[in-house]
Amino acid sequence: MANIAGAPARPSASFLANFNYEKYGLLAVFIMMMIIFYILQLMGYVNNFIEAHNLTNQLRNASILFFIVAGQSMVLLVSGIDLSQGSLLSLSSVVMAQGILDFGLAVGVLMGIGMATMFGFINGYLVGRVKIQPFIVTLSMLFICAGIALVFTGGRTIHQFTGEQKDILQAIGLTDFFHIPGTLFIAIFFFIILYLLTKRTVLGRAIYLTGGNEEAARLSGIDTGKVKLVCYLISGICVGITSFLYLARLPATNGLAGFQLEFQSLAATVVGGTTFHGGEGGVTQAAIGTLFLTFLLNGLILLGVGTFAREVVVGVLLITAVVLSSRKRRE
Amino acid sequence: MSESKNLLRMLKIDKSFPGVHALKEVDFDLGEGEVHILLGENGAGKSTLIKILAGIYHADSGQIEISETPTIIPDARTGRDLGISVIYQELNLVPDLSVAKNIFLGREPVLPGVMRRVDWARVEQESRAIMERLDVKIDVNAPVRSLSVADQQMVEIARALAFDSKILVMDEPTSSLSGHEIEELFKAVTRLREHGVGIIYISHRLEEVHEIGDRVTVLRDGEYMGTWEVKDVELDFLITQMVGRTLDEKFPWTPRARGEVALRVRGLTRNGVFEDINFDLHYGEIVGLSGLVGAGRTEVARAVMGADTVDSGTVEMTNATKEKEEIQKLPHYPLWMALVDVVVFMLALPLFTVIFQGIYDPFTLNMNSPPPLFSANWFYEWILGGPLYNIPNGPTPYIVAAGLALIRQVGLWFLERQYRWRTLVIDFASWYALAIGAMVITSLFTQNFVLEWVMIWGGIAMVAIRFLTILTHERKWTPTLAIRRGLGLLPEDRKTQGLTQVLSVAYNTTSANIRRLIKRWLLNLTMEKDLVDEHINQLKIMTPDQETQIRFLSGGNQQKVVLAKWLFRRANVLIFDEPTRGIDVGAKFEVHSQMLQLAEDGAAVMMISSELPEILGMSDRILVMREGRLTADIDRNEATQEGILRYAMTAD
Amino acid sequence: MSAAASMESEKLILGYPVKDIPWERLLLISAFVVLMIFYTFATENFLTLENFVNVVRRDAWLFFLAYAQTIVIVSAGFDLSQGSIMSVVSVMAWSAMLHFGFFFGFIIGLGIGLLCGVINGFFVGVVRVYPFIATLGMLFIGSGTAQLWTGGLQMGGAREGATLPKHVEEAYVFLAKGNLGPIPFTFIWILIVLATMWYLLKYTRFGTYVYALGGNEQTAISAGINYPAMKIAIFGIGGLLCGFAGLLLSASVSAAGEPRLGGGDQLLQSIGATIIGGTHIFGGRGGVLGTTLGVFLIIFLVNGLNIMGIDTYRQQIIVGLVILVSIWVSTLREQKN
Repeated sequence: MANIAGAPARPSASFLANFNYEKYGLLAVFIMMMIIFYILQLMGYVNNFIEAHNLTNQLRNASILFFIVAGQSMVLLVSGIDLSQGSLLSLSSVVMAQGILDFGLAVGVLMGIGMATMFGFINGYLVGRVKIQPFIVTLSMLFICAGIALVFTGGRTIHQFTGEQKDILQAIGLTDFFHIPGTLFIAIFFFIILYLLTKRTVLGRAIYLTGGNEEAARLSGIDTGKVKLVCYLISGICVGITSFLYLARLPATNGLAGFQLEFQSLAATVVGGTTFHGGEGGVTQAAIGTLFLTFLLNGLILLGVGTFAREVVVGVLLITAVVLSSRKRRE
Repeated sequence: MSESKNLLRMLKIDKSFPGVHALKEVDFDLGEGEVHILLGENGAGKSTLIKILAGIYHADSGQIEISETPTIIPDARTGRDLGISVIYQELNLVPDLSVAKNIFLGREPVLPGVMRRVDWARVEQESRAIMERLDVKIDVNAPVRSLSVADQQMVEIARALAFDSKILVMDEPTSSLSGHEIEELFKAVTRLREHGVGIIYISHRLEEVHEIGDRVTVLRDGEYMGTWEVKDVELDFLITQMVGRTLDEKFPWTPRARGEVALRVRGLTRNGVFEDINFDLHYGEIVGLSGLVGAGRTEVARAVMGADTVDSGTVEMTNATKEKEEIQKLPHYPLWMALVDVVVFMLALPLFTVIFQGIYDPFTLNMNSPPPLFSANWFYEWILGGPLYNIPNGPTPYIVAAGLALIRQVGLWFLERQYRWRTLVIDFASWYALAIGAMVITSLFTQNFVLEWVMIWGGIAMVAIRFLTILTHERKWTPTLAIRRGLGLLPEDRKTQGLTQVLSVAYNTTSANIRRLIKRWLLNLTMEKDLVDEHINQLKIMTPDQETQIRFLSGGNQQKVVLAKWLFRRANVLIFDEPTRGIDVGAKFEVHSQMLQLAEDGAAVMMISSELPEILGMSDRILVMREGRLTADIDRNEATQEGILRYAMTAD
Repeated sequence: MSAAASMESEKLILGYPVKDIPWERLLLISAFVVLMIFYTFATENFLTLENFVNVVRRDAWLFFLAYAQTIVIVSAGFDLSQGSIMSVVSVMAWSAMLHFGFFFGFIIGLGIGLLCGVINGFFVGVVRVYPFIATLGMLFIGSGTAQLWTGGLQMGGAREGATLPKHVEEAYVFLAKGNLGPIPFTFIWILIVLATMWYLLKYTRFGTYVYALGGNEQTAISAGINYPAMKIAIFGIGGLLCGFAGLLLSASVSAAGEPRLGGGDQLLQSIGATIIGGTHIFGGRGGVLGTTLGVFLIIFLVNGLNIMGIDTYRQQIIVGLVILVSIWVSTLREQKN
């Protein structure tokens, strides 16, 4: 019997033969996409794509989006789904804004992030411990959070910060260092933390094992319910941080701030290479997916493609990625 | 050959799978109105033969004649059209459709006309006719779900009859039936025989051979041993025919000293699966657990591991602590206490509100008195979120609340033995932190009184959910606990239960004891690499590198990874469930030597196997299970294949 | 029921053996009934014929959506794209009506619903993607397409710009608000669809196969049921009913083409009604009669909140919580097994 049946043979030393397509294929596609947009720019179809100001802005957008994508990745890694991210973002951002108005910056930010964390915990609890289907939990939570956010604001936009508060917020949200947005540093910091968490801690291992095969993980002594709970909790925290950065960039928010943002985060996650089956993907994939989606959408905008057409593009992208990954799985 | 007409003849059927010669020129025939019993050990080739007959497998060589005409059965459909029906052990019915609909599923008769309406009247009528033919009383309009297992089996038989089957294969039909139900089944079989149906009957109960069989054929190791008239043979003769597999395989067995008791199992019972299992496992000992497939061996192993719940019984690991782990249901958190908690919370709410919010009605700033408890207004204001008044209704609720809280605390103290300190603290803290937290956040937004009740009720919902989960939670022996005590299980189905296919060899190897890799808060990947390499070398796992995903490895290497996982865990009581099934000879020997090495190093090993030579070759002591009960505990020196098979197949 | 008929087997109540009686579901439904009684006493005009007629007329779309979800869930599927299908149908049917008149617009609307369903079915049955994921993709594509079609704006209705011709608009509104004699038009629709679906599921080969697929897929396939075709048909019917629901809802939103029509909690409500109505979430069990009950419970829950003067946002929260808890209670037993 061939003992190494089907194992990838790597005899050649050349770069192309050693290239891990599964892992870095999207990175290659991303670079190609950038080149194509650059060529289009040289030909005059696209304005200002590869240009310092635009790149800075897009990196800022990407670094804000990255947090929820990372949260979604965590949840997808344990074969769950978090549909409540968007409305939870609305809720935590309005709570945060109101908190800043009433109690000052620090307390307000903590309140907002705390609110998101709490709902992340509730999601996780219902999925991991009570064992309701993740999809039903988070879909219900979508409406519950959205409802609370709307009740809370009564449809108003909250923006009446004092000048000082505005300055501090924008200093965090909008400062650039040599054209590199400050939020990127926060995102990189968070990326490193999450990377270490997933790759270098017991919890991270448990996440991968639970997502890959829940029964095997349970028989290896892992409390899979707890692991799931923590993943949803992390997703909640990520949403909280996103809502802070969102508020910092644009010191105003309303009850619809995160409307349908979960779709973008799902798309970026799945395009990045984290699958719905769980156990495959990770934070790196989330980062690549985020960059890819952000720049793709930006390029399309500059090409003159409308908002809703972009939504369709996102949908097609998602379903393509899903079909491709599920085909791969079946083989 | 029987005197009646020949329905089926299989000649020189030969079939090989990669690595296994499953059938070696087997002959088989079946006459009209005959019950032909097919006997053989696990893996003797019975099911392969049946699958060839049903068209699921194709014979490598040989001939099948049905009603004296040579036939080729390319697929299951053709098999069915030729009148061959197989009733498998697991029932193939749709639970929510009626009996009649199940019988005719896929071939409903159609009324003439464009609409092609189904002739349900005919479906019902014919189903009823078949039931009459079988002489069983089953309401053909009842959903199959509502029938007993025996009746469901009758429905399967009826379904086969509705196909006009001439040949009916029954694969262990009595394995899940009780005595009375078996009688019913036999009656039905007798009737079928009278109608000229030929029945191939596979059974593990040797008593049944004389009860209903006409002829009996024995297979051994894929070889045809012979066919006899039932009345001419004794059970002992059949057993000797079934065993006698060659023992030429080499097993690395050496005598060892037997140590202390490592695992003590007492009275383990899961209703309908296994009953009153008692055994001890000693350090330095290899115990073989034998029995036929379906006797409940795997289930016992999983129960010992804590993977499945049991109805009663205890598992005791003697290594770590002397404490006894009860695995039967214990009330973890009694109902009355949960109710007290709810009441305390409800009554204490106004108190919290007052503390954190001050005494005023946020909307009207009126100092209204609140509605009386449980009145219609109270319901409106508390449940539906009407204006919330904050003035307590006199001191009574608080006194009651405090009293109840006290009772709760005292109760918890009394229950401490079941309700450990840590759990107690966590429960208490989380419970009150939640309530207080909800109130704090709420009170911060006094102008949004609606948020307030949303938060309150959200908090209550959380608490209620916590109660419900605590209520349903059993204090039980879980895999986590078992592994912490040093137990390890190599499951029968390693692909889905032992390993995570999409993850790497390294991840899988370390999965049972990830903590071992921690160095200064993080996992030390260098150490992991070294340790995993060590295990790969020790077990001679053939893999390109540690990062290779498990699914790219062969079966034997996958099994070695599962073993590596437990070696990495340094488990000292190991249960191997069918450790060598489907793996090649080299890997098999490797697994056996490792097992021996473990025992020599002082671990307690239990091996479940369907292969008698393996059991005889490796075990110091052999336990035999039959239909959910332990029937024998035989020493190595006294064990023979016949003896084991007798315990596994016949009632005492 | 078949209680009396089976003598030998265990005693049956409501078609269930005693140990299988869904106590938790009965409890749930009684809780709703208690709530209704509370509404009746707490408000003046909850329990009036007028209110009943109005509510059923206004929320008729939910019946069709829930029937669609029922047939899909019974076959062990899931349809997340219902809301998007409604939106797409709403805007496209509006455009079609503008050009081809009411009747063809109506037919085209249904056709688009059917098409979306068939695409879902194709992905589930032929490509074999999980229903959950396939319909999630359709959710994206559907809502994007609907927005793209109109540029995100509402078409017709209260907005400026093109409006439907008067007679078309009247016909469209009549679909949702008209009366046939004393009986609201939507009642008739509901009854027709309910009867058809009931007959379809109970007395046709197709219906039997739907239950078979949901109850025991392996058995169904080995009995010779054409899996891809069945999935396409099931999701197709689902899509068709969603399309009809979309038309009804747009008609009652002043006959407009609304690209965000299905963006709200329609999906949650349809799943909620289906599960509360006794359909098992993993398939194989349930039916449209139970779903009808579930729909009634949900729409009157909302109606009662309305009458008590609780605003939409708060209703959203309450309905979300109630459905979450109800689904949990209803699936308790299934999850245990």
